[in-house]
Amino acid sequence: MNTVEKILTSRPLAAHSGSLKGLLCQELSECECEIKEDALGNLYFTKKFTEGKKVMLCTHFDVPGVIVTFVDESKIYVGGLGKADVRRLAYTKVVFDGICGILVVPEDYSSSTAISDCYVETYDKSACEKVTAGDKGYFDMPVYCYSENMYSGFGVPIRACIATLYKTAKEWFLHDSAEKAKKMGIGSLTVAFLGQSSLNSRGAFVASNVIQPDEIILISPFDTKKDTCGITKDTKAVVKMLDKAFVCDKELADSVCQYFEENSVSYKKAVNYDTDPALLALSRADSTPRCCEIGLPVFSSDMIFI
Amino acid sequence: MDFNFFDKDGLSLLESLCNSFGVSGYEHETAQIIIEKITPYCDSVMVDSVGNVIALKKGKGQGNKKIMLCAHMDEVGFAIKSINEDGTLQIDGVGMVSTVLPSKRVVVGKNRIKGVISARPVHLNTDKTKACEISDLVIDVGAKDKQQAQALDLLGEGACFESEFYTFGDGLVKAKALDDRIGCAILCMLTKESFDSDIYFAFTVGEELGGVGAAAATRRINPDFCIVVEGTTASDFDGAKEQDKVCSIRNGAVCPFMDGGTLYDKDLYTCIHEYANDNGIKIQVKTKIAGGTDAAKIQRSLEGIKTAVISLPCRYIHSSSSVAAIEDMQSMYKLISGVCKKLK
Repeated sequence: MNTVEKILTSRPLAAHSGSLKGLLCQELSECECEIKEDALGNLYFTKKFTEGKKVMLCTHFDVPGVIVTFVDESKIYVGGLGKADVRRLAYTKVVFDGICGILVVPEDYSSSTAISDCYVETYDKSACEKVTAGDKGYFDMPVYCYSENMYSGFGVPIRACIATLYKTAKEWFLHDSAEKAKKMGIGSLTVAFLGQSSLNSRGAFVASNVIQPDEIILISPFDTKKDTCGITKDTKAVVKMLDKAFVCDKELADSVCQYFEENSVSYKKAVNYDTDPALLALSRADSTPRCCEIGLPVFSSDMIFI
Repeated sequence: MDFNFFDKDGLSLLESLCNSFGVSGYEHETAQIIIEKITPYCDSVMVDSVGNVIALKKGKGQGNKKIMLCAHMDEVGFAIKSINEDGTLQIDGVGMVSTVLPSKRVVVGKNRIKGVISARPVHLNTDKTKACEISDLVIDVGAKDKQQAQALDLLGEGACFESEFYTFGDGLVKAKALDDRIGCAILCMLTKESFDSDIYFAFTVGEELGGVGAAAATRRINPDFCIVVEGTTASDFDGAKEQDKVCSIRNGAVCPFMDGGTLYDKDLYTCIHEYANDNGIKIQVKTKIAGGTDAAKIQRSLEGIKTAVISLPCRYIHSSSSVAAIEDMQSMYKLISGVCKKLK
């Protein structure tokens, strides 16, 4: 299994992305970049070049899961680590550090049912005794691989963004990119994985204060169900030219489009789309960075094309 | 020196804090009591531009971490938004739930004008199944008409419950504003102790309005760790399922792993629970992820602050008659004091 496949099948949870962090640190350690982690669980890889602007590329680092609130003889009561549609999660397998159970939902569950209205049934008293309040659990749902570049499954879009950023970091940090950086006026490049993203983008509030970048580019899933710009499965990226909160910088978006054109990347321009909450948080740093968002097209059933 | 909430002095301090007028935006009176109490024991005490009281007690050690202890001075209450023709006052709630309000006694404004929140007679209710909204309620200050009420100059003023502080039953306290005058009381008493680390005591404003004071205080202090000292909901009613109680009085201090606004720092959470367990101090977690505290703003400030919360379980929180156990207060005090000495 290569690193991208490992990332796509990983189980990162808010403040519990340990194994994925380890994998990224290990894979990028040979790049001689500075590695840093902060109190919110944000993970940063920074490479300094010479003179120029500070650029931060970032993406969300966790997918929704559950956290234990109370345990009785066979039931594990849980709260949501991030919001998720219970209709998709009903009766799926939940794993807490090796202890497994099934997410039981109320009989009249609907789109408004919260994870905290459900519980995890283990049918095993001894298993429950090993779980304590505060333990985190992930939804053990399958990741489907239809061909070598076609994946789908719960959480796959976020993991695909992580994999994209990992590949970008490798490209920039492993090879001699000093000339490229000089040409683009980049003095330092930070690749940041934003912790607690599924919890109202909490990590994002801190990340831009830590790095104080001049420019931020957020990579996030783009739901093609809302598409009005003609995205096909050959579209590799969507550049938000104008978002509803007016956070995306037109000039920066134009330069991203120009880069895609020069490098023959198939992309579409999107106008008047919702602003990713993480980008809103990131834009509020003291350094007043210019921001841009690149969407990774996500098709039905959380399908992505690598 | 161990402070004891069973002592008359401890309860007397809590009483004066609970009885003070400190609705969000009007915390001055509470701040004055605190400044008076802590000034003799701190190296510096200042009031910042938003009204936070920030005190520093320098540690005896060298190169130690900066620890911020945070308690909010403000309480839930009302703001007077207009005066009706009959002389009653139209109100907006400040962090308030309307179901606990009808017929409660209140005091309004800087002159502490006495008043009562209206209770609509049953026969005037068109929909008897509907709970009242704050917009349905008014404060009656006894004015005979609008002109007389206007003369009291109450527009834009705050109002809070008028509620007697007393001990009752088996070691319980009843008061208004236990959330978070208990935190203020504990911080005040901790200033008398000595620590190796530098301890910053932040008495914040505006927690019930979203934590404006906490954000400002954190930016000023830039601590290595922060412990928020709070009051939290105890729903330990007869018949409630264990998983729905959130926490229970007499079960010790509450140190949650998460609430509606914050996923707390795992290392700090573990450190607090280990200290409690090693020292025989009662401690509990919340069985529901609900509510929020100043911690949400603090944790996300600057480059991210390692944050935890230690709370007092309170029944009927945000009402005129919050109830809490003195033994839980004592557990909180011992726990916070011990953890501050342990963190280095």
